[in-house]
Parts: sequence; structure tokens; C-alpha cells
Amino acid sequence: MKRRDFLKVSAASAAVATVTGCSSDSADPAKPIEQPITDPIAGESHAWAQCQSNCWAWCPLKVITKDGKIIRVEPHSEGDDNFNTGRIHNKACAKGLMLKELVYSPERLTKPLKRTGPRGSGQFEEISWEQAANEVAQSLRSTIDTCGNRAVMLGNGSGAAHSSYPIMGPHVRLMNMLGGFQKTYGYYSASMKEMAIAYTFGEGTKNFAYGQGTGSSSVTEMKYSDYVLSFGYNPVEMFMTGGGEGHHFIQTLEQNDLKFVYIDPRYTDTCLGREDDWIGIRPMTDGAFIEALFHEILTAYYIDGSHVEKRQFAESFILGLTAETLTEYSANLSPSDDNYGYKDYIHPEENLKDYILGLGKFADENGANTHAKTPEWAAPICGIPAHKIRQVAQDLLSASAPFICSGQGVQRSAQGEQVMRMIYTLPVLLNAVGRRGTNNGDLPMVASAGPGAAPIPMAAWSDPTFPGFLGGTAPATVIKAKIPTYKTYEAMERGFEMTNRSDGVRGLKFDIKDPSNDETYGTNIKFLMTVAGNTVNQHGDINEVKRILSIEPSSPGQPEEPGLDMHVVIDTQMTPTAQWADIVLPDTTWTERWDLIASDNATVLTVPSIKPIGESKPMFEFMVMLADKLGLSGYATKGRTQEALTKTFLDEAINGVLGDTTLPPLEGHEKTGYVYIHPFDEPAIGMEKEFSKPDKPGLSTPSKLVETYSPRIAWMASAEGWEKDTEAYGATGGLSAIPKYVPTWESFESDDDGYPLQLVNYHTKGRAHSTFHNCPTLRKVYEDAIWVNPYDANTLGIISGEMLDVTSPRGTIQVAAKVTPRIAMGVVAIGQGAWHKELAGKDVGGCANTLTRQKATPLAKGNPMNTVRVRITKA
Amino acid sequence: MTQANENKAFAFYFDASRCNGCKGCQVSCKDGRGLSIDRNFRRVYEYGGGTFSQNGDGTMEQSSFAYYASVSCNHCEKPACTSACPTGAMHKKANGIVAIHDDICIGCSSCAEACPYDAPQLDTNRGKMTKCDGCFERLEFGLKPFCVQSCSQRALDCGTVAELQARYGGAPGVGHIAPLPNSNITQPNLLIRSSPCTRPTGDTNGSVLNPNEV
Repeated sequence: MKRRDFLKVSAASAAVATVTGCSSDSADPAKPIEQPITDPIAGESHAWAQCQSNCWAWCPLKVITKDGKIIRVEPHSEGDDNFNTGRIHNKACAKGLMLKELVYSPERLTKPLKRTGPRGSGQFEEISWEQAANEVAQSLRSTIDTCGNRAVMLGNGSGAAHSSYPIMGPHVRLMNMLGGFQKTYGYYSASMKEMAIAYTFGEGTKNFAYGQGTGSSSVTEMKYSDYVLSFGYNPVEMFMTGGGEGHHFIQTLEQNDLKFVYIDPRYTDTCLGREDDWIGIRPMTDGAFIEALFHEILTAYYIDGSHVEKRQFAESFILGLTAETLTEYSANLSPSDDNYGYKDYIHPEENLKDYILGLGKFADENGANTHAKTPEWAAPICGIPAHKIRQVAQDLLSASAPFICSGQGVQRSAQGEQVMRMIYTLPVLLNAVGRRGTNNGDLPMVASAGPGAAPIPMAAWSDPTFPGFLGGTAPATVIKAKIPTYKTYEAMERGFEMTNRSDGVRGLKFDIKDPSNDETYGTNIKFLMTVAGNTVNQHGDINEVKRILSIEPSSPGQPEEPGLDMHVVIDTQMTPTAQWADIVLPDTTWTERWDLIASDNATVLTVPSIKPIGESKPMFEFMVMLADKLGLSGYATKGRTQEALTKTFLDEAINGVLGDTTLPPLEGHEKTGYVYIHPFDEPAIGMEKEFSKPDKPGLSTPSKLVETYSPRIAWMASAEGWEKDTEAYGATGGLSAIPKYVPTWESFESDDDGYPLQLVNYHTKGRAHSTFHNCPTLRKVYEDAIWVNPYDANTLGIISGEMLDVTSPRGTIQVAAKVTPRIAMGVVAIGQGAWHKELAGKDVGGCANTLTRQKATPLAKGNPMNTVRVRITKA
Repeated sequence: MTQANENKAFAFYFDASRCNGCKGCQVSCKDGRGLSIDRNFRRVYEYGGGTFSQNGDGTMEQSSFAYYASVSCNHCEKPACTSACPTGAMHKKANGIVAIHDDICIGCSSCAEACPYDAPQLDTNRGKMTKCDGCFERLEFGLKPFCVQSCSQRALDCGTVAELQARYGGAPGVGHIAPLPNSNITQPNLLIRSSPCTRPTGDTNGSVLNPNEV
């Protein structure tokens, strides 16, 4: 564009004003006609809504209407705005401000639809709500009768927090009352780290609600640190909000001149001058980098004899640091210890110190330590010069309060559990956990009061067995067997044969020594209902997902036959997932219904700003219809509309057992709703209690120690343990008692096979996963282009703006090139969540998951989205 | 200087050390002012550069820098646009805001050609020039411009030059950063706080990384 070029060159163009040939001197000196000043908001109304997309900040949105239509959305800017008092404006980012484009989008669902062509063909007919409720109820009942409740699954969905919060939601209540459903474990966001933290620090450290309670410190705890080491912790992009974590991070670093080292293949907005060093590491090689850090630290402890206090702290807490600690633990193992059954799998020679320093079992054939994990060993793998690795190790050892943290991109890889187990071990090794200014290695917590009172009654409500305010009417039936979320689609084809050993299905019986008696899951998934979810687009390998969904069983109700009997999608937009549904139901958007949700810093009472578009209906009201058809009389005894339900929630949130009487009542807010700001807390130190007594460790692992050596994983890794995916992960199946850097398929060290570049797919600022993709303004201001390093672009002859084909062994996407210095050499990156759109065998929508692989990770059975090799060619 | 403290001209303030490039300013302006997809009264430029080489052992030497610059009309002391306007439609108001008399604008784009900040944006449907007017109607009623109100990181502000100087220090046109042009050309009423990453106006080590987004 000419004018844009002008901006760039204009410093040398002082004479430009003469271009026009006119000047104001020659203009008609007619008196300027001033516009009359009119009140710019006269005739406008507003109502509060909330961005319920899954960045998890859930910012309030001030929806401005005129004549029954939304004219714009404004951020919260009422009251005090002072970071130091914790009372701040809970300002939404650009995504939430574009709610209008979602409400009035061409893809907006306005009527119930039923599939008429083959599944995925996009051919639908309009039906009535009554017919939809009848058909869904009939299919659901039939699946339960023929295949059992295990054949019913609620699909992963996080695009409308009111209903998809993992432990609440009207659909969850309905399914619970019917006797349960397959509630998969693990999230697309964080499966590997959740598993790693449970094995390393114990189940008690795990999320009770996602994003909270991982045992990590508040982001604001960084103000007491002198050195922050971030493995891709990128709050500034992940949480752009002016009320939540990104803002807290920016403010905290502004107030504390600490040293900040950022490790990520991308130079993200979390840097922008805040960093003292950006370490542009190769994807999936963080494990090698950390092993080299371990090497320097253990050399200091055991070879140089320095840092005695740190060493003693590490030795008192870490199981598996040395052979001695393992021998002693094994010798004293009591039957009350949950590791007792795994005693045979404790091998003291397999300890971290020997492995890292190349000693004992890990020495070479001459007994020398040539296999030591030195910085010189790691450097060519991760691409980071040895002196830089050594510098990080020295900084960690000399810092008084190192704050070690990670994002979740690093764990979304084929060895994600291994690297997270190392990241959790690192602060313990350094005596940098549980005390002022430190962190346990995990994603820090937002500096908020946590979820306020509002979600609590909703959570209780979803469980009909909870002796709560809405009363329970159903027996305590739950499906104890849980399939990994990343096997959702696989379970439609071979769920019936899945076991704990073969697929990590939890809750199924297995014998440690004898695999022949393992309990199988017994049925495929036959009925899938997805609410505000887009897993066709967001699961790995879309073409494989489409293949599985296109399977039509010969007749319904066959538990071992592949293929769904029914796929119901409830959403506001015709997403790529809705296109693969049998029944599509139009939900209301975040501003067309009553709601009550807590954001990071506020409780928001939403009242509708406009009438529901078309025949759209709050999902809850459809569930009431379904409950009636299914004869569940106790389903909605305290309110059969979203409005009545929300008012009941509000009453409970204020006056209930766990209520907060400071929350404003409805009176006076019936037309607009409200935003009630909770000042955020003082910084919290993660795992302070667990690490307070070195003489008496109190973690929630079986050993009460930090299980860097996990006897349970040692069993899994043994010959009689879990089934091994040797094709993908080699002889060990990617499992090992202590965490190790393991090269995997499509890693930097694997054969190139014609795919020379590593791909990372990051969370673009222009979407929250796949939500907001169909907002034209956001597509314009956050270009979906593949990032290519200038060095690689030069080698490949690529320039910015060129259309490229990006191909992995799974498929091809077509996307524009963006040559940028903000990506490491040999790596390319695209923002995930673009909507898949197939045209002549290519995905012209540019969805990352056309390229990713549906191959579950070894331990968590999670999604390794950042393990992808690609080649790029001109389209 | 007492002169500066009495400066009542309308000005913007931009803090490059806080801006996270969220584009709330750009987007809320488009939303609030009803602008079409290609018309931006405010734009967020991504500016950056770096050096890259590979060592013999497979390790990499990499350095990168990047930052954002949110730019609208700067309501300049010496606006190039008003000088270029053949009809007098483009004018500077007593409060310093540069605005357009819609009824006498002929849509010739002379102002757009002249402005080194890309501030005037032609409404091709109506054949009229449009631009940031500081949301002066909102200001009259004690409301902030959409862009300032929507800045998620409190990196953007507006007020009189005197007010902004009292709040943040600095001075209009001083310490401007790439990719902005030399502030001597039009004497923009824009105060900027730099960051460790920012490069001065005229820098040639980086480039605008997001030409398609602005």
C-alpha cells in the first residue's frame, strides 16, 4: 500500500506536502462549519455480558445497544484502577470487544438443524425444537439401553464457560441423572503437565479447577524474585486482557528489575524488551537443555562440593536423586505406602545423578563418563551454544530466589511428560520452591481472588448427588472408567477393547503382573454431544477425525461396531464440528442470556442486551426439554428458564452456605446486570506448606517425596507394564522411571524424511482457540500467516505475503508467508484454531490440526500438537 | 519550562514499554466509529529485527527485538494535512484537534498524501476523507476516546500536553521511535515512552513486520 510505504520512508520526505499542488493558501477561506456537539451516548443502553471464550480470563463486556441492536462493545472501565491496591479495571482485549461480529455473523446458527446428506456433507434441513428434543432423547435412551452409559460421551468444549466448565453445566447434570457418561480425563491444554505434576508432586497438587491450584505461585510473586526463568510461559499473548494475568505480569516486571530469561522458539510479546535474554530453542529439545542444567548443578554439588545447603535440600526431598536415597527408600518401604506394590520396580542404579553425570550404570564401556549430559552434549541438539546453557545454570545457582515457570506449549509435545517432570524437579534441586520469590516450575497463577462465589453453586448443581440447594434426585452413579481425551475419536472405533495397559484408561481393573485379566472398556462411544466445543477442528489430524466420523454403523446400538449412532452439537456458529453433526442446535451468545460467572477479578451478572437471534435458545432450556422427554422430573425444580436459573444461582452465591454477602443483589441491576470487582490477593507462594520441613517432607505422592523417580512409572516402563508404542517412541515406549530427554518421531533428531522444518502452533492473539475465527476485523488485524525465519526464508527463496503449501505426513494447508525475526531458525509457526476448510485436497482455512498427528503421548496419552515436521513449498 | 506546562493542545501519550500489541485501541476505534475493514483511524505497527547465523556444531546465534507502536492522528502543531487541503475542510480547532468539515471535503486525498502518519483515511463509499478527531464529542462529555478507554495495558492516554507532561514527563515529538517519521516534519502532539527494545526514528536495523495488519 502506498500510504504504508510512506510511513516507512517519510523521514526522508519532508517535501511531501507539495505533492498535491495545492496549499491551504489557495483554499476557499470559507468559515469552518463546526459540527454541533451532541451527546455521543444519547439513546444508547448497555448491559453487562462476559467474554466466555477459553483464554480463561472471562473479562466483562459492556454491550452497548440502540434500537434493539448491538452497536459496539466497550471494556470495563468503572471505578478504581490501581494495580497496587488490587482494584483494577477488568478490561477485555480486542477479541471480546468483537462480540458483535460473532452475534451477527453469517455463520450464526438460528434454527435447529438435522443432517440430510452424508455426515460432514454440510447438508441440513431445519427442524423444530420439539422434533430435535424427541430425536436426541430417543437416541440417547437407545444408546444407554443397548450399549450402556459408557457409550455416551460429552465432547470437550470450552467456548462458553457457563456450560462447559469441567465440573458444571446443564448437560453434565442431565447426563449424571441418566446414570453417567464418559467424562474423559486430560485436557487439550494441559494433559501432559497434569500427569507429570501428579506423579512428581502428588495428586493433591493437581488442578481442582483448571488454572487454579496447581501448586504454583502467583505471577505477582515474581516481585520477590531476582531471576525468572520461563520455559515458554507467555502470559502477555495468552492472556491479553487488561484485568488478568498478562496485565499482572507486565505490571510486576515493571516494578521489579529482575533478570528475565525466556526460552521459546518464538520471540513472543512477553519479551518486547522485558527479557535479558531470549533463548530461541528448537521445539521439543527443552529436555536436553534441562539435562545440561542438571549436569552443571550436580557437578557443583557432587564434584565441586559447593552449594551444600541446596544439595541437602534436594537430597531430603527428591526420590531418585542418588542411588543411596532409592536404596534406603526401597529398604524401608511399608505396605501402607502406595508404592509398595511397585517395590520390585525400584532400581537404585537408575538414579538422576548417575544418569546425568554418566556414572554407574550410565558410564561407557570403559567406565568413563563420556555419556554425561554436558552443555556440550546438549548444545547441538537444542541449538543453544554451551556457554549460554552454562550461564543459565550459573545464574540459577547464584540467584537468591529463582522463579522457574513454564507455559503449556512445552508440554504439548511427544515427550511432554518427560520435560515437565524435569521442569518440576529443577526448582527442588535448587531449593527454589515453597519460599518467597520462587515457584514450583508450573504455570503461575493469576493474581486474583480466584473464582469468586459465583461458580460454586453452579458446580454443586451439576452433580445431582450433591446435598445442595437444588436438591438431588438421582443415585450416585458415575462412570469410573475414564478414557484419555486425546483418544476421544479412537474410542469411537476401538473403545470396546481399550484397557488401562493398552490405552491408559483409568478406573479399569488391571493386575500388575498379569495382563491377561485386564478389564476392557467394553463398548465404543456411540453417542456424542458437544456443547460449545470444536474438537473436529481442535483434535489432532483432522483428516483422521473426519474418516472416523464418516463411519456409519450398519445399525444403531452395536457396542463393538465402529462409528457414532448420533452426534449432537450445540453452538452459536456453524463450526467445522457442527458441520459433522447429525443434529445441530442453536445456542444463545454471551449477551443474549442471563448468566453469572466469575472472571479473574470480577463477578459478572449478565442480563441479555438483545433478544436471542432467530430461534436460538439457551442450552439449559434445551436440556430442560430433554429432561422432560427422558422423564427426569427432578432436573430443573428451581427454575426452567435460564433467567430463573441465574436468579437462583445469584441468590445462592449471596446467601448460600458458601455465599458471599458482599455481592450486590439483583435489585437495581435487572436491566444492566453488574460487574463486581474483587481486589486480588497478596502474592501467594506455591507449595509453601509441602516444602516447609526438609526433615519431614509432606507431599501427596505415595512416598511423600518429590518422585523424580516414580516407582509407578518404573512399572509401566517394565516388560510387564504398559503396552509400548515402539514404532513411535522406540523400545521404551517413551516411558522411564526418571525423566529423560528422548528423541521421538518428528523431532529435531529424527530422520527428516522430506520434512525439514519443525512446526509449532501457538495461541494466536486473534482467537481464543477456534473462537472468534469468523470475526473479519480480527482476521484483518491478526494475520494468519506462517512465520518463517529470515535465514530460512532466504535459503528457501520465500518472501512475505507469498502463498505457501505447508505439508506434513498428514495433510497440506495453504497459508501466506510471514518472514519474521521472531522465530528460531529451522522452525516455522502458525496460530492454531483457524477453521479447517478443504478445497481440492488442501486445507485453505489453514488449520494447524490438518498437520498434527493423532498419536497419544506415552504417559498422559495426551495431544503432542507441537511435534510436527513439515516442508513448505510455493502454492 | 513554564511554556510547556501551559500547553493546552490536545495530545496522545504512548508507552512502548507497556504496549502488548493487543490492538484493543485499533479494534475499538473501528467498532466505535463504525469504520470499514480497511479503514483504521489508529494502527498498531509491529517493528522488529534480528540477526541469525549457524555455528559449525549446529548451534545458532540468534538475536531478535520487536515492539509495537500505536499511532493515530497526532494533531500536529504543523499539520501537513491542513496545508495540503485545497478546500479548508481539514482544519485545526482551537483545542488543537485536527478535524474535517465533512460538508466541504471533496475527497481529493491531498491530505492523505501529505500526512506522514497515514492519519487521513478515505471513506470510498461516500468519497469523503475521514480521520481521528480525538473523539472530541466524547471528550466534551467527559468520556475518553475509544482507543484510550480500550487500552488493556494502560499504555495509551490523552489530554492536554500540559496534563500528559505532568503525568508522564517527556515532551511532544521527543524521543520518537521507528517506524515513525522525523517529528520535525509536522511537530506531532504525541508523547512517547520508549522501552529497552525501541529504536529511534530513522532506524534501519528493523522493519515493519505487519504491513498487512495496518
